[in-house]
Amino acid sequence: MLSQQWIDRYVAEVGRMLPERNRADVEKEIGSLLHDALDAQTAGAEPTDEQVVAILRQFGSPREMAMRYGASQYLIGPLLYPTFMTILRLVVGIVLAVSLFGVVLSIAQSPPRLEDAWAMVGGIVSSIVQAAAWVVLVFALVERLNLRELEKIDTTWDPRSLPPAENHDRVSAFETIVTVIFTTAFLVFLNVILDAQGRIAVEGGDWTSMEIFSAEFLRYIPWLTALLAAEMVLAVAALIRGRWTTLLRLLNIALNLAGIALATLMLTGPSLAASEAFDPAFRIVVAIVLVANAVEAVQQMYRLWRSRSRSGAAVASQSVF
Amino acid sequence: MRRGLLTLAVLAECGVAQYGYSLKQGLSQRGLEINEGTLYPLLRRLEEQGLLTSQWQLADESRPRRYYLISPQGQAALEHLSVEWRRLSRALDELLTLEE
Repeated sequence: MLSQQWIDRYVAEVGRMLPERNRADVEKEIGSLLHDALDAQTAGAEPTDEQVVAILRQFGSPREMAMRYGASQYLIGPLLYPTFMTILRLVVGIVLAVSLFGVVLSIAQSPPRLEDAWAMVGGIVSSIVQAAAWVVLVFALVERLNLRELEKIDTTWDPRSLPPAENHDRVSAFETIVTVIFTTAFLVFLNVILDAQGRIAVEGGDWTSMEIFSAEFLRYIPWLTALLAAEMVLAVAALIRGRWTTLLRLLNIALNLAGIALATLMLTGPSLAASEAFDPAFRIVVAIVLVANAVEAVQQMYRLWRSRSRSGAAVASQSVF
Repeated sequence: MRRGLLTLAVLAECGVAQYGYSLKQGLSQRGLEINEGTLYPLLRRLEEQGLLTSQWQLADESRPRRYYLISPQGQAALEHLSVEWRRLSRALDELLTLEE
């Protein structure tokens, strides 16, 4: 093979991996450098294949060469990766919640058959894959367009912006997603699946369960709905804000107190179940909810107090110096 | 560290216009063997940083070569790096003499 052919092959292979903007120029340069190296060996005569191969080995593999000439090595680089993972988890969680919501709705509308169940699972998987693909695409674009700006973020970093190491103010995306999924499912159950008689009713279907809840319980549903929806909005707001601010904590405590009040009303009121036999079980569930709300309210108050006294301490220690 | 030293060596050699192969030869004659895959992309990066300027010129065998020359900015960087290198080198010399 002629040395020119070897060079063309090598240059094309490197060029294939180079960014568009300076590809032609780098290709031309590598070609010229290879010619120089060969000429120095053979003093202008046509080199043997072995000589060309040896020179190409010396230059290194096309992949390595391209990498050193600035071929991009990352789809989503180390600077963006942590943010990417947070957003990916959040988006996948939301898509999953919405899909499950859709499944519950469609089951409510018509009794499921086995082949429908497979279609539903397939649908959920493909919507998650699609959502993830879009997130990857957007981040890959940001990576291409905006890397210089991102590097600036790290150079303008201020140590004083570091949050305390043991940070309960930070919001966990996972917890938020779980909250959203379960709250949504419960809201759908209360408002869509239950009918006015407290039965599980399949809309358009010909099957309804026996009455589960008492008329008394059904009267609580608007209150329960408002409370649960408010908690969900608050959880998402905290996630978007990134941490539990004083205002968000106060709102959360208010909701917990409202939850305690509602649960107390339910516990002290008339039977919750349509049949007396089930009433104790229902009351146990409400009691658990009451205790959970109380625990959360106390926890939130404690953390509010902690973060206040900590920032107070920080101010005091600054004024010493 | 080696990359920083390479930058220093290349800037020092590019006081007169050099093309890739002549630069490699020049450095190797002074005992600095640098492989092609490291040296040539480095020239490109230094140009992107504004420390070198370059242009294609037709060489004697009517084949174009890319010639690199140090820029004023590169000159300033060279002076700064030289001072830094001499300081480091002195410090290390003293350390090594103490060892003996």
